[in-house]
Amino acid sequence: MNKKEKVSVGLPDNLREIIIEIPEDEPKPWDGKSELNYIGKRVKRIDGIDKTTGKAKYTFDVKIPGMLYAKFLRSDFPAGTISEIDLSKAQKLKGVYSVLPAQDDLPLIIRYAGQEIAAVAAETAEIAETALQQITFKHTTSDFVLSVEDAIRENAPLVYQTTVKEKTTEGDLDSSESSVVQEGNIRGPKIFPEDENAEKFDDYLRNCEVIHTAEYRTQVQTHSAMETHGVVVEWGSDDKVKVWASTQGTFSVRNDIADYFKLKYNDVRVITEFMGGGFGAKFGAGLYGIMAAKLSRATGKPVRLMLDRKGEHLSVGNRPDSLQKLSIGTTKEGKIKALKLISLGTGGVGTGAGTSGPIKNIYDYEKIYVEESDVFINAGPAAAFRAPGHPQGAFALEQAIDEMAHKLGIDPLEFRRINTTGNYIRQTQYVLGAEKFGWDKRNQVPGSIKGPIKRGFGVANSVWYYIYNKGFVATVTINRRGEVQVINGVQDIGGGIGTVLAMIVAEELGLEPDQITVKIGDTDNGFGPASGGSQTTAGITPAVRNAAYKAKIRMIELAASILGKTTDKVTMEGSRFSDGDDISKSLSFQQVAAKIPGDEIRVTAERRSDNLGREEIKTTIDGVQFADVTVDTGTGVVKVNRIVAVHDCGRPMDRLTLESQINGGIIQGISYALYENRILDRNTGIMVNPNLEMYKIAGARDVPQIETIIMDFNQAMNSTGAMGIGEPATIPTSAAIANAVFNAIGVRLRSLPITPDKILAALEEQSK
Amino acid sequence: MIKDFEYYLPKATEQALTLFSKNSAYKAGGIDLLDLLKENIVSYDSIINLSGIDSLDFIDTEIDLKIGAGVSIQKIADSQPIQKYCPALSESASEIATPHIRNIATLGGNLCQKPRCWYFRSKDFDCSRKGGKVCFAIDGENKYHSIYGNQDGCAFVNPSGMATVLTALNARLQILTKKEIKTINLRDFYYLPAEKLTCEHKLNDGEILLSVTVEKENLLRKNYYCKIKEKQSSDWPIAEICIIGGINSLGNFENVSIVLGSAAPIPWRMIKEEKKLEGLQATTKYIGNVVESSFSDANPLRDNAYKVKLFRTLLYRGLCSIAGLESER
Repeated sequence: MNKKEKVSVGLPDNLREIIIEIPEDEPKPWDGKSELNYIGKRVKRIDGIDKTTGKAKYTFDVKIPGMLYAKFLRSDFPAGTISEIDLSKAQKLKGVYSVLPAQDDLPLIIRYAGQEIAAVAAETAEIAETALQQITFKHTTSDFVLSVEDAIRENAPLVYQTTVKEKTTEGDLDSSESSVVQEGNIRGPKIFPEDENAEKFDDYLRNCEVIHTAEYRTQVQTHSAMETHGVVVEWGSDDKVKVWASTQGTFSVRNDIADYFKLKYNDVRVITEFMGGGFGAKFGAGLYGIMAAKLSRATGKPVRLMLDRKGEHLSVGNRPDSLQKLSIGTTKEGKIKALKLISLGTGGVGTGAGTSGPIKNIYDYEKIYVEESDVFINAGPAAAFRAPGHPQGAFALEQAIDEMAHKLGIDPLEFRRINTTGNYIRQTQYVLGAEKFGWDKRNQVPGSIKGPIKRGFGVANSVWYYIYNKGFVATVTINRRGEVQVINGVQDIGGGIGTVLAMIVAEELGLEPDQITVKIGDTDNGFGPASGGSQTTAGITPAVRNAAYKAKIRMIELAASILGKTTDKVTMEGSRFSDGDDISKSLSFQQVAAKIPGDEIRVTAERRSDNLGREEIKTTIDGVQFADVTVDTGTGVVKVNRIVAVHDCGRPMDRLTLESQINGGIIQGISYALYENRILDRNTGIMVNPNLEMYKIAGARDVPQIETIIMDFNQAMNSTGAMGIGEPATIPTSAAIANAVFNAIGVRLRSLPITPDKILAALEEQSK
Repeated sequence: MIKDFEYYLPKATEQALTLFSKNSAYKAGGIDLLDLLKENIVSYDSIINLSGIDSLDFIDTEIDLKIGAGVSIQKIADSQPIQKYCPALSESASEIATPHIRNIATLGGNLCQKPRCWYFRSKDFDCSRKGGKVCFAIDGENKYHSIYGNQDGCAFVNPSGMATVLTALNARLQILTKKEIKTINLRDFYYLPAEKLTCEHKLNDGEILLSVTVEKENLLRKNYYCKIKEKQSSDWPIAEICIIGGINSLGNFENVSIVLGSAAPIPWRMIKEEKKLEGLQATTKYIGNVVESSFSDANPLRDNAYKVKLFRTLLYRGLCSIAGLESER
């Protein structure tokens, strides 16, 4: 049975009313006119004190009596074949419990320096380390390739002799495996639109009145979450397996372990109470999870396998690099007619180097042509990384857009405006952002400021998508003492979803967030979303609100029976239940709860599809960022002074944690723009900076003033109307910085990271 | 894994001297030593911690400036006399690493730290400085390596910010040996790879660096210090310069000392430029001429030619600053 509700949708100053149809057992969605106590306000994390005082225990902190420490032996050569492994000496070492090869059968083909060869479980980490040194093996080495350019040469050494099937996780956007060809080290191209003819397209492009073409490069960025990948596995004597995991998807870890060892899902329990960050590489059990489980099974003891920082840089994921040739064709007036992207990128021995998201989804165009290919090299595998493909794509596209605007003599923001006319969210974002930032004060002629220290402004767009999955089950309980719990398996990877769930239940029941006990991060707690695709909040919050609503209905029914009235006569003010006919007769939440039959009310609700029978829901998440930088032309050092970020993400839940995610995305974007770079020694294939000393990440002194404008965009497509922000916020930052650098010095930096050596070289080139 | 070692915490330098045996190491802050141990680059049978020795922790300005080797980098940054007498030294100190490290790291440790070259620091590379046959940087990833002194089988850069400034200040080191307290001029302290390939300086095994002295005549002179880092939080410099000098009553340069950091395996003195500047009128034109003709003897590697441009800027800006002129570069 469905019911009809009138809701106000759109932006706050431009709301319109629509009638929607929703299931009987769901509350009226929060909309643009809802007046709420917590939702959309700034609420501090419920676990903030635990985290800052060290009371919060992460997977890294788990210590169980008898627990063994496991470590990997990794290859120090990038290509070859291991034909024999001798584990016996390591096994004999005192304190060593088990030594296992990383692959059951030999030969083991080594495809990158850092690949796992074997794992040891021992009483202490030190013994495990010593044991690794006792493992010997027979191997041959072979030729290798370390860059896209080398890998696509004729007769280049092949990374794979076999066809590679793309592996995707919840962090990846496109999990459909289409028929992609693999030739040499190139897997691709994927062509878009599939039926487009390249030559015809080129004719069309050539006939555009103004054309810009350039090549853009981005580097490999490795995953550098504070907590490394890892697990503690306790394989019980009853073959029930308990896993503590630093993961973005508790259920994906459970499924991988259960599938691999042919166990019942019900016999594998995965716990992620606190989690030290993940940017897309922490889905599934990983080889470390499988090996820890094998070692635990073999020894009958709990096994801890947390990667060290080096292992983290080498083996568990990175953002692929890219080499993008991008063309734009416009009319003289600046209307985009044609967009073309030829993209090559390497995810090392992995896939997922596509970059076409932004070019397909931001601007209006008549025709588009995209070819994108993965190129294999002998380096660690890529994994989903905060908006896969999008920071790379935006870096190229948004600089090309800027270059085109410059060529046409049109203000870069105006050029963006006239080519996104159908998107009123963007149009609003441009206005809000430009005003807050002071766009009109920018240096009109790039590079024209006198003196060696030059300041510049830049702008760039981002795009992401409204993604959610269904079937998540949230439970809300109220016991006879009036204690309230919200229960779900979802993990909090740092975004603060636990706080948001408490806020939602508190809002619905008229309580305060700290009155709500939040139980999350456990596969025994009911199916919850994986934190990939920026879908955690959009995925779980409607189920939680719906469950809280059901619990509220039960409480109202109970209050009605106590008051001797029908439920429609009971009104709820805050958490008090009153007789609608006689307001003086009212009951507190506790008074009603005390009459709960048995022990508690326990209700569940499921994440369903968004409202049916509706006009189309806007499914892109848009954003624009403005950057203010200073470039020292004598030293090449770039300093980011200020970023203004304007983003929409549906209806904001906790504005404080939301801002925090935007801040984090921007800081990571700055780090990507200016510092981070995986450097492989060209002669040996070994990464020379597998640490956080020479793999450079933005620190406190590199963080600029960040100002965010969060647009409340109500669509009332479900009971909460939340969308995601984790990924969108990092997409445009590097492009905005690059455009600001151009505005400052009048020279284009088309290659990331923008380091002093590149700035100095570009300036020298220009002065020639 | 760190091999087990004996650990000593002596209270006096004499005791520390006698505790030293065949495969021992002295530790002060331990910032460098612990990293080397953890990466299995070195291992010792015993480690003698000097941080309990109070007599190494002092700053004395009575006649000359004398700083104990055990003084923390943060204390140097915060010291008012140092800020007054040689601001370049406190500036350099305040730019080192992170607050945590500055609180623990010492002057002595900073001067004597091992190379930060990524090939040297990795167990995966058996490089010439570790006794191997090859310098992997020469044909490898050498963006952060040296532009001087790199033709003798090793291309690391001296990482000590303190050394750059103290070399310009012509500091002397007091070193305790079993026999005596000897003095070495800091300008003679470091080895070029051509002299010694696996050892960076003249502090021999079993000797203790006691203190560093800057003579009165080198204090209260004009100071210029600049460190360029790719990022501003905790990063090693890509270029560093310290200029100590003066302008005489005629407006000419006088007794200028120029030292580059992150340029060579030792703090790199620009002796030729110092000579050219002596008596030269301090104008932007003449400074420009000196800068233009400098660095012709540098030997940049494939990825670090940018350092030459960078150092030219620093030299120009530094000399303008010493001369009280506004820099146009």
